[in-house]
Amino acid sequence: MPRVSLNAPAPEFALPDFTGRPVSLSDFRGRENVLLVFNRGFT
Amino acid sequence: MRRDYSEFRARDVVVVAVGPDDARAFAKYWREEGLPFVGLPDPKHEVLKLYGQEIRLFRLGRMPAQVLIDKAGVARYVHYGHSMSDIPDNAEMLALADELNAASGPLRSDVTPGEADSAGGEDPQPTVSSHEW
Repeated sequence: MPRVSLNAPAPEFALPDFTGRPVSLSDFRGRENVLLVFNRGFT
Repeated sequence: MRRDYSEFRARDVVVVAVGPDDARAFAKYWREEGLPFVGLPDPKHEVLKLYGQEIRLFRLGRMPAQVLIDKAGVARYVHYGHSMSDIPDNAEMLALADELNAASGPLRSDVTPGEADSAGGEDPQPTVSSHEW
């Protein structure tokens, strides 16, 4: 599987999670690494 | 992924899963699978488009994809898989997380809460290292 090295600023996003809690990428800045997993869907 | 989540947490990695389904479908899936990480419904493909446009991550058919972002908000790696159940080579992603943490200073567990709070949300400059990406 390809693995691409980017070293580019990750675009900020803000969306509610499925429980309604707001989630922004910047919430984690300075504190956590983030593994963002994009999926096609469950079905 | 579920089994390895504690390993991700030990490396200060938060997992955020983004998909086109709505909140109800996410809630059902999370309940059935007992998933411990964040689920982000993105029915309008907002986040997907953002990442596709700004860092040209996604080409047709290259899904699912995982993007590892370091504490400074920099996207370091993208990794393409085949299906939801295939989510990734976790060992590889964990190894990458170790690299990021090594490059960005001490792990959070090595920092007292006071120091972490006064850091202004930014990591210290990495120390000089011969390590290469």
